[in-house]
Amino acid sequence: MADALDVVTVVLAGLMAGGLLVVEVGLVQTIRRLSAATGVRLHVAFDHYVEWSMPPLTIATFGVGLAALVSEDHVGGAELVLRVVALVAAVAVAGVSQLVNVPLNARMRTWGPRVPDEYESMRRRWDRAHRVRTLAGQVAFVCFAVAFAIG
Amino acid sequence: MHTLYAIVVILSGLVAGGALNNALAMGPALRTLDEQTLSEVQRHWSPLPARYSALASVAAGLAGVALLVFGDLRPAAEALVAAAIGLGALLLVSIEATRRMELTARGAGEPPRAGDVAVVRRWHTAQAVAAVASLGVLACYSVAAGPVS
Repeated sequence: MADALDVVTVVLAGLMAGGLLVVEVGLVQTIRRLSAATGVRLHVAFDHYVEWSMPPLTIATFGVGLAALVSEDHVGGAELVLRVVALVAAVAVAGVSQLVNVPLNARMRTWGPRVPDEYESMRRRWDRAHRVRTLAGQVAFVCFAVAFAIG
Repeated sequence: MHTLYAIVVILSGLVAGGALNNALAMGPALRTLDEQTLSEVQRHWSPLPARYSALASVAAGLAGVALLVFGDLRPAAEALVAAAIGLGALLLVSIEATRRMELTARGAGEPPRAGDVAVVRRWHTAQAVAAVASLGVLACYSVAAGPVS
């Protein structure tokens, strides 16, 4: 049972980390090169669909990762440290998302065709927060994967 | 050997997560745009994910081959072979779809041409196939990594 939970944890964490990375490498860079109006349209459209996949993936990664840790009989040393760091990093992904990215997304959704002047500063703030949660997501995945491989 | 297993799982996970996000969020988001905007967005966006996913796919494949050649095959060989087949399919689909997609790239202000939308639609289908294949690769590598512990 613990092995199955470990496999599921690693798969979920990989999907979370890869999903965050492709947004950083692809979407963020694309929006920077578009006009403000087109960038906001793409951002809002992407956000509408991604909120069905990424938040559940992040919650599931934490939940299954915690269940795997609790169900293991003998976890100690480096493996325990890696699993705890991974869980904390997954919480950081969710925390940054809920505190910064989600409120900014909600404000952008209310805009009409005319993009307000504050957009540039808001986009930079969104990009910075996304970079932080992407880094946290990579840390979570690498820690889960290494803990799994050495466990 | 543990290091190699961790590497293949991490690389295939990053590829699978990116492909899944493209299929579930980016593809549907792009379909909401009109042809002119779509052409402009695709010109900037379509080459970007390939910057890491192609490299990560090839590296995961090479590390998987190294595991097949040098690893303890008894517990993990079937999962590793399945992962290698999945990676091959993923690369073929991605390379062909990206090559066709690049044909729709236009200079700024150029109007889209007839057939662009069909190419973009096929590209989205290819992304869905890539997502399924890469998810299978990640699952195979993760299962293969398990019995080593």
